[in-house]
Amino acid sequence: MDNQEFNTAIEQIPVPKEKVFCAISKGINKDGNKGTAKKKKVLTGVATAAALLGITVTSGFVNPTMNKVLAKAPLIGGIFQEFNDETGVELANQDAVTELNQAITKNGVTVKLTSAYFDGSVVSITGFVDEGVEKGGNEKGEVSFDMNFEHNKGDDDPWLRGKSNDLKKVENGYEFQWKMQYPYKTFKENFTLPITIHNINGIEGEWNFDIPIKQEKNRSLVMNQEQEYLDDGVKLRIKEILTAKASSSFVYETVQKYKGDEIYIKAVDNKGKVYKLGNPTYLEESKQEDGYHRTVRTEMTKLNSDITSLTFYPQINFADPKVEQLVDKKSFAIKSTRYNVGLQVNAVSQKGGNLVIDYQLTGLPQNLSKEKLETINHNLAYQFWLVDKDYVSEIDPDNPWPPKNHGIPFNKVKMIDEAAAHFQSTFDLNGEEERIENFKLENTMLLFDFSSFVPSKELKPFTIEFPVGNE
Amino acid sequence: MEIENYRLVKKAIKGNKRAFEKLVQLHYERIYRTAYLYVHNEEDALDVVQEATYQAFISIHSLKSPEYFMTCFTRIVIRCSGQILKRKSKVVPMSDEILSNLQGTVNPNMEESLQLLQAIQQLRENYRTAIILFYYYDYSIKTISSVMEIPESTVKTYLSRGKAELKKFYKNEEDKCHG
Repeated sequence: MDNQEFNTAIEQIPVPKEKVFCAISKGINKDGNKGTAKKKKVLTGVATAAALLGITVTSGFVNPTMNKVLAKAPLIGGIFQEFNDETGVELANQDAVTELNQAITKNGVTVKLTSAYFDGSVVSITGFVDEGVEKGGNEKGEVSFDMNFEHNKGDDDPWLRGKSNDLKKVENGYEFQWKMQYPYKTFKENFTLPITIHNINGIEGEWNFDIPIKQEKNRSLVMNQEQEYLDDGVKLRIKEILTAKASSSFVYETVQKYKGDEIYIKAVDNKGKVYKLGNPTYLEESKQEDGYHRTVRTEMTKLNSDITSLTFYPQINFADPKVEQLVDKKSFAIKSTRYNVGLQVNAVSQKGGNLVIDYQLTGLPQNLSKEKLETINHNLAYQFWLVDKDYVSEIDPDNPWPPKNHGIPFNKVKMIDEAAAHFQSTFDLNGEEERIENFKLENTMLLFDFSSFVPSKELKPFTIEFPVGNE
Repeated sequence: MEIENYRLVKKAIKGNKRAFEKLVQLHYERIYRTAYLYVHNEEDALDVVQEATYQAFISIHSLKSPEYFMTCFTRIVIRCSGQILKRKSKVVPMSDEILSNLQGTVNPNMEESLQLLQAIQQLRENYRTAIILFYYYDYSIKTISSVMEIPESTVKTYLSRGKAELKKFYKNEEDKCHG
């Protein structure tokens, strides 16, 4: 038996791509998914990702309404259907997609841009790259562009922050779609977007394009309504919804006492239609007396023009700063700064190269399900940090991690008693990378992250009525 | 790709949801198939994908070396598969029905492959994990030992026993054919 035989066997398992992608996305956006991976203000951009092709199964996913729409759509609509982009199909139908025909060949690789649209807050560009890219460093079926917009450099490019990519293998090459979130506060209706592709799969260019981007003025529905949640330290200002030809964008402001809290909003109209919101683009951020202000714009399903009211359902994911405690006592208790959960440490003991902490979690709801306990058990391995107290100040708040050789971020967890939420964590003091030099118990700071115990909270929904006859 | 992936992982560690999602999507086939090798049906395999994605997402911030992303993720996938099997507290053998479903999608001279697939799925869990990581993931003994959290010598034992069982299975099948 060899790898080849083995792989051929495993490849007999069909992969339902759409369903798997859906499961992935559900996993990431799971309710109550607090986690400790807080979304920072996204300073660095999303890398231009290469999408792996679904080689075995091109999936039976055909959206019937889209098919029907496509029946009337001109040729350019085809590419949007392949990428499952309903906005694109709709725009192609309305003849609102700019067809492009710009091709550049450098170092044996031809890149051709075929279309562009700008609708609401979304800019899309489609194109084709020939199989010359396969000579590059990537595996077959992968294409990655290292690129910038508007002559920006590296990750410091607002267009890359909300960029997503899709890729399909076609004859003689690959078709791709880039989707960007328009990064500026005010919309320009007509502009030229310079694109520089530095290299593709490691093959140097450059390929330079100037792409005309235009859209008509969006229809604006101004709301300017404020909703305050005193107990949760959050204020929401619903500002406006801009509606373009095939999509809408939603602008709101959040004012929050705790910077790390994340707020998600769902909107439902008076007929029960649910509007999906995309990833946020931060238009403005500032710290003021009443808290952290953030003006956000997100892509939104196209707003129906005949609605009379919209109800907003906000949800908040709480952030909780790590609690610090010097381990100079054998037993102590610490508490979350914001919530009624705590940690009762019963014993701290050093055994050779290991430090063992015996503790109970307090304030958790009764009768946790088996699954929940398993998750807690799993998470506990990451929720403790031991850091040399002289190095705590060196932790970078933007990318927190214990300083090398002076901190340990992992431990092995053992559940002692389920009912009493009683656990034991063992730290390896002499790990290869994560260790504490000159370890002394009394110089060691324990940092504990409570935020994953705090479930996200649905805030009270509120409704905004529109005068009848409103556009 | 390597550099690109590395950048994605770094962004994901910092909490960038989209980067994380892209990263998992890059490996979706392998992740799904790995899960399938344990749970033997689409529904459960999708559950594993979802749960593993969730668990990886809430813990990725603590991943220090980006190059270990895939090994960590694989460990989580295997653990989640194990949990689902445990929850159902029965191991569903690869039935003929499932096999015939698979067969519907492949060409007929794949019979041997399907037999091998069936054999893999009937291995006991530890052997199966070692075999999958070795052949499908191309992992070194050292990496497998860190994913499975067992000593390297145990990995070697699992591999050789796993291979022996696969051979035995093959032989049985052949006998059946001749018999």
